[in-house]
Amino acid sequence: MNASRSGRGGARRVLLGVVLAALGCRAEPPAASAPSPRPLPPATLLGVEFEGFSGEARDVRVRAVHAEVDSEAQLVRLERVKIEFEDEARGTVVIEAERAALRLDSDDFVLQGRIEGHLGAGEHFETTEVHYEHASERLWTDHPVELRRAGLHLRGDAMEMDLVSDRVHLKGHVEARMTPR
Amino acid sequence: MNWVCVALVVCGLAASGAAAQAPSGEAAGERSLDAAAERIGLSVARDAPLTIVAEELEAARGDDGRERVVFRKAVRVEQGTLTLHCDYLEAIYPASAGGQPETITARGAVRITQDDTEVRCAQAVFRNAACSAVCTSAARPAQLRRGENIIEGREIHFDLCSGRLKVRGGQVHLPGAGAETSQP
Repeated sequence: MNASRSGRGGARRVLLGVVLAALGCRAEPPAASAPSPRPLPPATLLGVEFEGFSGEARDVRVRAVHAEVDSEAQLVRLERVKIEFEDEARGTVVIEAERAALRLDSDDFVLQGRIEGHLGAGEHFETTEVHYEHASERLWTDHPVELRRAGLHLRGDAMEMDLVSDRVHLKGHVEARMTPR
Repeated sequence: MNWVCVALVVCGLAASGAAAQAPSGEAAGERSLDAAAERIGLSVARDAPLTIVAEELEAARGDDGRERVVFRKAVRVEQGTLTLHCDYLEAIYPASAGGQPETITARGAVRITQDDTEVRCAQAVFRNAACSAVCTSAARPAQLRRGENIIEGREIHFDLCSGRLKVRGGQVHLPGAGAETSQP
């Protein structure tokens, strides 16, 4: 991995933001009294890997083949991203995306390209773009999305998810297909 | 039991004013449920895939822990040769994980078809525990048609466990049997 200590810290915050967002958690805002650090020059990171631990147990791992961190623009671009974390309800969750763009100042992000998620218990989803707005804790896509688990195949042209109320809305040519097991 | 027999059951219920049989409480086997459905004229192919098509789907968990799944706009449900069309379809699942929905409600131009059997009404409510489906209409009567035979009423109650029907405020047309029965 080619990364300065501070560059790794920036990536850490971003990647942690992704994971927290994926978990529906709010990242803690910086203390109001903390002095704002000087922006770092844009940095390129190769083979990024971040691991978060709860005690001895690893609860999150984020890997990206390539990352560009622009702290002045408050933007990080990741390529070939793989996020793994443990969810109490679902078990091990793995999300892979070709590209990710993350806002450092808002924790908003966009995943693009081929996006695949394995949500534990045989659940799987696929789409080509996902937006997350941290302020509203809303996740959405205007691209076709497919969700699968044993005996169920669900698709729609677009999806919106409110992480606060855990409400899911599929729109456009929705199809639910249940196969007897 | 053929369609005329079903109609006679309805006539008998209407004449006596008896309520449809309550579910026995004993676990009815799938076979007996299928036989009951066939008596009504709508059989379920349990091993066939179930497909629901709509313009929108919304799923949310309520404060009481129940999960609510709603399909909206041009809803079509297909399983085997059974088809249901409506504008709105809602399934309520119990708070405990898994299992069958407690209630399924179809609203707006509800039409259930299979072979030569067709049911039309404004709202159909399926209750799993009660083993029942109730078809109601306000503007036009709910209608159950099989070939030339027609049952109409403000409310058609299907006992899905016994395969019996109860019609309120309606009439039965049996052209083949030369019979017509009305109920206020």
